[in-house]
Amino acid sequence: MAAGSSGGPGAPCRHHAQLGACESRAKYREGWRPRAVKVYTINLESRYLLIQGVPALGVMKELVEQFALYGAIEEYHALDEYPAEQFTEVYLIKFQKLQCARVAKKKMDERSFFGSLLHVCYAPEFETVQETREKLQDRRKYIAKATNQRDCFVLRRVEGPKKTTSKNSEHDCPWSTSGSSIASNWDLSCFTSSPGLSHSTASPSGNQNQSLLTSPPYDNNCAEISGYFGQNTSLTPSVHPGGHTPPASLMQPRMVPACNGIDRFMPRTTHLQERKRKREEGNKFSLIGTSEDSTEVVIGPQLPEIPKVDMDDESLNTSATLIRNKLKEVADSVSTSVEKPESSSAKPAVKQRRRI
Amino acid sequence: MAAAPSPPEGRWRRPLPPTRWRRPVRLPCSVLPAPEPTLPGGTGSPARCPSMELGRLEYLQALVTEFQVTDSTEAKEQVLANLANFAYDPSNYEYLRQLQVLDLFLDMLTEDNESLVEFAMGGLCNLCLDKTNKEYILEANGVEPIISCLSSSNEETVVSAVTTLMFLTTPRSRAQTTALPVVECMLRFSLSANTRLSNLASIFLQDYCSPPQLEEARNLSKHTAVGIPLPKD
Repeated sequence: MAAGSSGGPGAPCRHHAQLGACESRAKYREGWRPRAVKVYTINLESRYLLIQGVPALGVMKELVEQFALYGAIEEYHALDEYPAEQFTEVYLIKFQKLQCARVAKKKMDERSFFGSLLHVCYAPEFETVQETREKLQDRRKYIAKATNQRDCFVLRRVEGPKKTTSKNSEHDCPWSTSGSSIASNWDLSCFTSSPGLSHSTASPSGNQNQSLLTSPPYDNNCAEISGYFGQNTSLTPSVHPGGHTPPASLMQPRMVPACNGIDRFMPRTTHLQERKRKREEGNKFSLIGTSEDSTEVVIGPQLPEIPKVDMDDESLNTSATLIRNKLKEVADSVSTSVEKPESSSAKPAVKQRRRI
Repeated sequence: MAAAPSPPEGRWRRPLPPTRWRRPVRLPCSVLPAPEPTLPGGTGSPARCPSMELGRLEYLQALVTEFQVTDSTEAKEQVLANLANFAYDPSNYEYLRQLQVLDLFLDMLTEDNESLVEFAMGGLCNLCLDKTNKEYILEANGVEPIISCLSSSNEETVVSAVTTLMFLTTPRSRAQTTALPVVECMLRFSLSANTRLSNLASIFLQDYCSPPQLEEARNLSKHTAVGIPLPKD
């Protein structure tokens, strides 16, 4: 097979080797530290770090403490079978998060430790299939988040038995396929794009929403799902009455057609716009009433009615009236008390205010 | 500087109008630092990394220009590796697209120099998850050269190729990325002693191939030797 490692994990691999630093770089592209010519991809990066050059002084505890500064460590142990220089040991440290491992490697590589220079590198060969899978999925999510994009079809749940249904979902537009099992395969990001899609598949969307939403929501994403369903709730009434043309004021300009343009770029609405839209929809509900319009699909918990204030109610003016009356009282009492001293100037001046 | 030799046929070497990246905007000489570091601080360590000093786009452009004009293989490798590492960070994607680095990577896949192929493949692996980049690569028929990288003797190249194929799989492209020869190749990889490779191949088979595809590939490998040539050991 491809040239490289001879054995499984624990054997020296080509990517463990420390390459020499590049001496011939043009000045304008030299970095801070001398570096080798190497490309890092998500395949090479790993939560597992291999540390060579640790002096054999029984310093495992100190080593782990040093690395723990960069993040939580799940496991660590010495690799006794790994070829090491005389008087040095090799350790494997597994971080909980990939990002921590990256920072730890960057900081600790070529660092002096108890008089010896450490060589830190990634050890992806220690990963299990599941860990590798999760690593790739995290990378997907990160890119999607960083570039404000959402893929409907590429994110999958990892459970084995749900494989086949999720493959179906890869082919089809999410909202036009029925079957509640598909809902359980959707990763969170799929729902982000759904408002646009539900708009374009207006007529069946009512039924689809119903079937999808009655399926048991899956564990970790319950809270967020109801949030997105809340969005759908707000969208459907605007879609149904007007046929397939949504009122321009309520709908964000979405260009995504149903199935053939799934992978087209969809602009993400800002939070301000979303909040504004939700507020408007909430107002709409409170005015119309959710049970009156039979074509509306009431989904999820009813939005709390915004308490309407009767502006003609006298009780609104109580405080203001009270203050005004008090002012009048005081003004009157001041004017009368001012008159008294004038009329009876013989009386000694009376202190009008108690000083505390 | 030596003039660039007459270019062989290639995506990025086709004669292009001056607005395309082949003749990027020429930076005035003063922008590129002189051989002696003239960064603030003089002999001490500069306040900012040289790549920041220039501004990201200008720096990337300088890299691409150097790649175009240099004759040194070493310099080409260094620049390509540099670009591939930049491709890891999504904030650079716009610049890389502007400078047509994607085409550059795709073209390097067919080079003889193993390092160039390795770095180009790594660069593609790093940036192919972005929607726009993905579409660009698919439009440019990038899947074929990537599939041919599966036969490379370089471990990193193969591993990057497997991951890139995974990332490039869309409903439209899956017929290509999960074609029979590819699936058959992945079946072989999943039995490899190389854990990285077997892990990735397993994920490919489990998550991106349907049971009928797997069945077909298994039958094929039993009977014939058709498919992607085995990498030379």
